[in-house]
Amino acid sequence: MRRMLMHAFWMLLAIPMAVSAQNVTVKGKVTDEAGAPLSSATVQVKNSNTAATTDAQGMFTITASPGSILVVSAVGFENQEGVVKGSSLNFSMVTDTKSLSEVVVTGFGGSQIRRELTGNIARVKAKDIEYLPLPSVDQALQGKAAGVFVNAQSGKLGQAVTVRVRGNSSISASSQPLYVLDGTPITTNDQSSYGGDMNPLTDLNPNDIESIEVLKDASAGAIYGARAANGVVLITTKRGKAGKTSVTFNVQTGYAEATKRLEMLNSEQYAELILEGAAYRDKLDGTPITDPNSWTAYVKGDVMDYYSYGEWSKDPKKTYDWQDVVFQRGPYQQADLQVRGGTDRTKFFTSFQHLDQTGTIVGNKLTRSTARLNLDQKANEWLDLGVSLSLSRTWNRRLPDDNAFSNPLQAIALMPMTPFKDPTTGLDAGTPPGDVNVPVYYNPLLTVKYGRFAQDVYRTFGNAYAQAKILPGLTFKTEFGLDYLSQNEESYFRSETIRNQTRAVRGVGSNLGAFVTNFNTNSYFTYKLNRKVHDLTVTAGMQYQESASKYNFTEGTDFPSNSYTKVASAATKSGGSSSQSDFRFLSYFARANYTLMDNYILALSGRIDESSRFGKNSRQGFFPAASAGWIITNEKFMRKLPVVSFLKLRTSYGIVGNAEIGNFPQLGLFAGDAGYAGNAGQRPSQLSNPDLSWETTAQLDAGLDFGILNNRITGEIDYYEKQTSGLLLSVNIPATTGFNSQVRNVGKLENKGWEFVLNTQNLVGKFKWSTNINLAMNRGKVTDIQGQIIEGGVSSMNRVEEGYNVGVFFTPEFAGVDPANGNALFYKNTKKADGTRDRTTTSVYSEAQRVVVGDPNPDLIYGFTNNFSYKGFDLSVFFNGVAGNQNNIYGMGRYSSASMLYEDNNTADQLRRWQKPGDVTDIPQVRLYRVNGSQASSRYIVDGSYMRLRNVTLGYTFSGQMLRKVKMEKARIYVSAQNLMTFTKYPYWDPEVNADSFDSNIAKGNDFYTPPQPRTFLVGININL
Amino acid sequence: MHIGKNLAAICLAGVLMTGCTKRLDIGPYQSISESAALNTEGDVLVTLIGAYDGLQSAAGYGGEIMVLNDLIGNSTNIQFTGTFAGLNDAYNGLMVSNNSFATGTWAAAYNAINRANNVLSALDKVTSSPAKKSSVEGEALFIRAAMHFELVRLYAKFVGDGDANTNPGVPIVLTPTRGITDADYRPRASVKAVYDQVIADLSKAETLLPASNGFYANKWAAAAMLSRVHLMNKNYTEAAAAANRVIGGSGRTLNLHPPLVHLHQQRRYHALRIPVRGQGHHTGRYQRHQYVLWPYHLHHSRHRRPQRL
Repeated sequence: MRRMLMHAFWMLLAIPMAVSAQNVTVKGKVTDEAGAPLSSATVQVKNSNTAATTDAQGMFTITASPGSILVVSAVGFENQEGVVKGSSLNFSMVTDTKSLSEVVVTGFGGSQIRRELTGNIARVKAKDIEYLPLPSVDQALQGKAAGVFVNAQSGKLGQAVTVRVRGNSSISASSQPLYVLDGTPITTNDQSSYGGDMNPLTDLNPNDIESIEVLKDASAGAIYGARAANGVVLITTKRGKAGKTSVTFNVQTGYAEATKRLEMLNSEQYAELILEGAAYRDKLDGTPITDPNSWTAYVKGDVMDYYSYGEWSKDPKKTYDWQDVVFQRGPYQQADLQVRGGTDRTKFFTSFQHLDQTGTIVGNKLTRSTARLNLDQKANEWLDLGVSLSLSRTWNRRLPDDNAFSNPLQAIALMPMTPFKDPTTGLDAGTPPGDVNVPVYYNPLLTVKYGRFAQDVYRTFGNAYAQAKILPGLTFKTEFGLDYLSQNEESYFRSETIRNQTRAVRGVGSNLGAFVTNFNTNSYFTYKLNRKVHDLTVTAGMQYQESASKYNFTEGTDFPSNSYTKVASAATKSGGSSSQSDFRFLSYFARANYTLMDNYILALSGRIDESSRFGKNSRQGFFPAASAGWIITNEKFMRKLPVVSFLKLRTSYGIVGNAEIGNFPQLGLFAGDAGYAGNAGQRPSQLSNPDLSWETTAQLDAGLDFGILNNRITGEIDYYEKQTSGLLLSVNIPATTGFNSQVRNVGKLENKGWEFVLNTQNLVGKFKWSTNINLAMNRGKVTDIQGQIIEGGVSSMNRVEEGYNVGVFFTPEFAGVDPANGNALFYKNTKKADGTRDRTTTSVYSEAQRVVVGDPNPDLIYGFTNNFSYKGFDLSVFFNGVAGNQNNIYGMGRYSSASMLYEDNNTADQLRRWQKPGDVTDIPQVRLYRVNGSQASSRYIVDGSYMRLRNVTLGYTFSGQMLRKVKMEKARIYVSAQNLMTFTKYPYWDPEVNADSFDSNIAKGNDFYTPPQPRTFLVGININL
Repeated sequence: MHIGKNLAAICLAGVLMTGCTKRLDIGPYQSISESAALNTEGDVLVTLIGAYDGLQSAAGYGGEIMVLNDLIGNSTNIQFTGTFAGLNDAYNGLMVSNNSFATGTWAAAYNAINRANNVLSALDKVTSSPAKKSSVEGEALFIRAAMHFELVRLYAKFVGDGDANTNPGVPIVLTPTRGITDADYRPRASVKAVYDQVIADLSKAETLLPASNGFYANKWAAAAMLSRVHLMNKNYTEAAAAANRVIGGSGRTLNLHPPLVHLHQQRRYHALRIPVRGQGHHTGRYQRHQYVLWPYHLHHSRHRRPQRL
């Protein structure tokens, strides 16, 4: 039927034209807005394969029939069309101001032109994320979408990433957005059993993506109802296009290294500090430092000489920087092949990728191979069919979690006089048969050499759809999606790792399986009505999702030799388990978009969600939203103000939910894991709450979209308020009940913020320069937690406090050092009768009250990109940053900036310590094995703001005759650097940090020997056939 | 276009969109509903095993009750070095309210008490023999009493320090928890009330328990614990009497000079012994946190500690 309509359309167009369809030769010139000729523009006869390219003077010659339409396309310009009337036709191209004319995906088959959008949706195009040395798509969103905060957490490969859309809108439930890939909500939660959380989005090839839409406000999100409160990320993959088959081959290679090294004490400085601490103890004891029983003698002989294999007293200057052996330069290679093409009836997109990346930390490596085929078939005039299929394998040799002695970065704790190799054996320090008690802590290199934990994930994303035109304007689409994650993890730790893996006496090995199946069906009607002044689109349908996660595990010890690494060879099968957990959602949704006279826009949407996660008394929820827009520039009175080319006011209000609360939080349960002395037992494990339901976020958004100077400057300004109530809190209950918490819908929080987007075409001539800026400010505030104490993070320093953002740092306030005696001081901060706090100081830690001293959530996030091009050259410079947040360095600080409470090497700033009465400093006196200011306090809460030169790419594109001789359309070579420079005051490795061992919704901004992000340099070539 | 075809399509669409609400009625796999957990004698017996599991928690008899008592009670013969701030604070007598060991042991003890109370609430399901029922009741009472005793020792003033009749002890919990009501926000009972409850539970347990019960609580374990309770309650006559019942009845002997290292391996000295499974107790090695407790004289004579745990 569509074809019939199309024919009718063409016939209508053709009527005024000459009826004869004899072909004529058409000549013409293509120029830009300034009248300069445009070379390499493509001129095509619409709906045919006839095409020509303009020469250096912008001239073209093409054969076409009178009345046919020529389409001219050129990079950076909007397509222009013209009807063939005679033998000449000129085109003046208009610079592409994509942001207003681009089509934005809205979910469930919907799409809208940005000009008419009334909800808030950020869009990231393929071009912005292609060929970046980032393994997962969520990282690619960083700094590209206003109001979307991304923190990569660490430099380990394939690790989980924190993503927050418009602030943190939950405390106990997940705050990560919902990811929907081609209509199917996909598995994005951690499936690993070793190290920190892994990131299942790594299984998706980012280069397969056509666009990413982030649904930020309630109007955009309500169609995802109980699952939209954290924002929804719609990922749309590339699909075929009718026309010439395009083959793109891209290969890039380079290397990565850690963005920073930390300055630590050398051997002489270390000796100076620890001996000073020993002398302090000797003075207390009244022992002369020359006494063989003195602390000083102990430190010299039993500490520094012992842990240096006796080398220290021979050469006190010899220093080993353990960062030298745990950081490495990691090679990076990636090859992509994409083929895209089709006919009117059949369209295809297919891609292949191989990625091979070595980590910047020893022992870390990731490889990924993916293949995809997306196929669309027009079966007949009323039926369209299609499939998408992506297969991938991701193999990751993982690192331990940050809080493990085997975390390579913990080697920084080792004394600078400890040699890398044991001189008696020539092997790494601590390797048997040498003394395994040296170094002072476990040498993590032993796990790199003699242990391994490899994760092997096979992932299938599949989707099939059928779409039928039922009546004029009415279509029905049904689609079935599958996300299957099959993961195998294998480990083997040889006996050399015994000091860390206590059960590896004769080896310990394990094998773990995770199988996550995720089925989804969407079925919906879409009705479109186009009248002169009315434009209406209605969508209504249902969604059903069923997810099952199955896990198994087996472990063995006592292997015949290190040649045997599978559990089959283990004499003792020391562990085994299997488990399963499911969830299901059944949902009905509807959406209507109405436009009156192209000026006034109204949108309504709503969804009913039912889930296996909700209690019996509250199984069903309804989530409505409404939005309206007014395109002011279409009004007559605005024509007097031609400088403003586009102006739209829009506002939305709606209610969405968060259902990421675990699978059965509402049931009263017993668990069978309470065995004793070899006999099975059970225990009460969870209190019931039949009233439990989703948490509710009501969001108001008011926005202004504008275009100035013929849309050379476009932008958006948004203000939003999110009020979240019925927070799913794991409420503390008296532990005397035998339980610590019960999940309840109590508590409230809010997020308010501004977002700004500005896109400008600064120069549009031969030398082109455009700028994209996005900036967002968010203020989060917990308004009611019913007096609950909710803590997390390193030493429980993250806390949820009413009146503050989620996860603020709550700890005593450090008051510096007493110049008289070198004692660490703390502000008492006791609340006085008048409500003020007692600002007197104390050296008794337990006298100091905990107060809010910092916030891991940034006040401001931003990204800005400048794109330059001149002739064949292109340059892109992308910065992003966060400001107003703090990090907690107590994780490592308590050991390494701790006045020799332990024998750890210390950070170089500890040289500033108090030494004699009168010294004014912020580093307390060194007191060996004694606590002096190394307790948790604001001393370890530091500024986490940063601005990062995230990516710089310089490319040159070859085109023209020379390439055509070798049958190439286009070839581009480029060099690129990721994380080239970081501007920050942060004292440790990387301000963009969050220790994986402590990560939770409220525990953010912690550093615990966390590896910094890689700085990646690469060169690449992109060939288009 | 055929009307029939359209109708067929609409019908098909209708079928595809029909709800399947029943499919949402699913449950967990590794857990069972509390309503299905205590319906048979077998259910009660495995819950009793679970109560013993509660005892062996790392924060309970799995180690930390002993470690905390040693650290708080003995500052002259024990040297503490370690990276657990909570233990270091306990050792230095500087415990703050969020000390993780204090909250951990508190919660673990009441968790075991709740398990024992679940057993006691379903005693009527134990019908195989009166002897079995007595034993189950006695074991549950023993566990409940042992934990109340440890709590009152750690979290309240000692008997003799002020007035035990008015000094706040710890909340006494005698019923299983099903939901949370105002009644679950229990006040602290007096020190004396807690000792009275512990002595009542243990005395009853001693009469109910058999003389021999495998590695589960028996009559002599109850009497031995009772002896300790009386000792702490400064009732030395009863303490001696209970101890004598153990010595006379159990066949165990008292070792006055135990070789510390091997004591735990010599069963003939054990009246009360909690076997701790590998996964249940603290392994301080793998994580960054670690602690070492060693007799002070070892450190003083500068003997190298064998291994930094």
